[in-house]
Amino acid sequence: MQQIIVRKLIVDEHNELFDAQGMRYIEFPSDYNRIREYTTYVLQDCPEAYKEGNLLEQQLSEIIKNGIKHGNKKDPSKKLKVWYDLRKRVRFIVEDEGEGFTNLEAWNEYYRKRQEALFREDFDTFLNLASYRGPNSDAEDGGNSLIAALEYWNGGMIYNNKKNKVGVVRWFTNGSSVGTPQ
Amino acid sequence: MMDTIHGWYTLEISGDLDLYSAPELLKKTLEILQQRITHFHIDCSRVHYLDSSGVGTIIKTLQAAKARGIKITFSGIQGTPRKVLSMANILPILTEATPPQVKQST
Repeated sequence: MQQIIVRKLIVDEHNELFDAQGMRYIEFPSDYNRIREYTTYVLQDCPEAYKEGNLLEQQLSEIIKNGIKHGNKKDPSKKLKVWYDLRKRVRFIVEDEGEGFTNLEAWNEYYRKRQEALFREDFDTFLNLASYRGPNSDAEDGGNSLIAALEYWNGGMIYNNKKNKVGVVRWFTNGSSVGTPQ
Repeated sequence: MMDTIHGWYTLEISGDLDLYSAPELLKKTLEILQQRITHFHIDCSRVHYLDSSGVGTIIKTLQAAKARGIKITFSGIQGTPRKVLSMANILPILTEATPPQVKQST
């Protein structure tokens, strides 16, 4: 029997994913042209098995992009703070200086409608809903990064109350196709 | 490449389809869809990196093709780009087919 899967973005200020103890830290200026460079820097010591080709780079890059573009509005005077831990699993906390993802609940509702359309194989509706368009979206926004992120970050994707800080984790055990590096 | 006889247009894309290259590709695909074609094929076999901006370009191209009544197919989606499209739930609306054999290119 086919099942509909509707995940949600969650706000939990005190979630353990925001515990940065023991994590490495770096901050970047909000330079849109250097997003992939920043990502490569953070992952330079990451075990190859955790990278899954360039999938980890792609997913981390999306979070950094969201912080720099939507959070800090590409203002180079605003910093993007990144905490990271690449031991046993990959875990990140990314915080920007913006006003926060104020449309989080609207996004959850959008995603529910999108998944329902897919479930009933209403591909015309699904195609119309394929990209999220929020009040701050522009023509270059893909509008789908959070959809993939909810699946990729299999240990959680949590926002703080202000919604300008996100904690994520991906585990590589219990069903993952990737083994733990030696 | 364009097969002017049968109304096919095949576009081969390669390298990284990311936040920096996706807008240019979208401009290109929308230009192609303005031509008198019936079938647009995109060969992705040499795409090695795909992010949400690239996925967005694919979605907007699909929407534009549908609006103009142009059939659109894809081939060569593999590796992490395929995984990204799968995670974004876009694969179910993509029609995958072998690349057409065109007679001439322009």
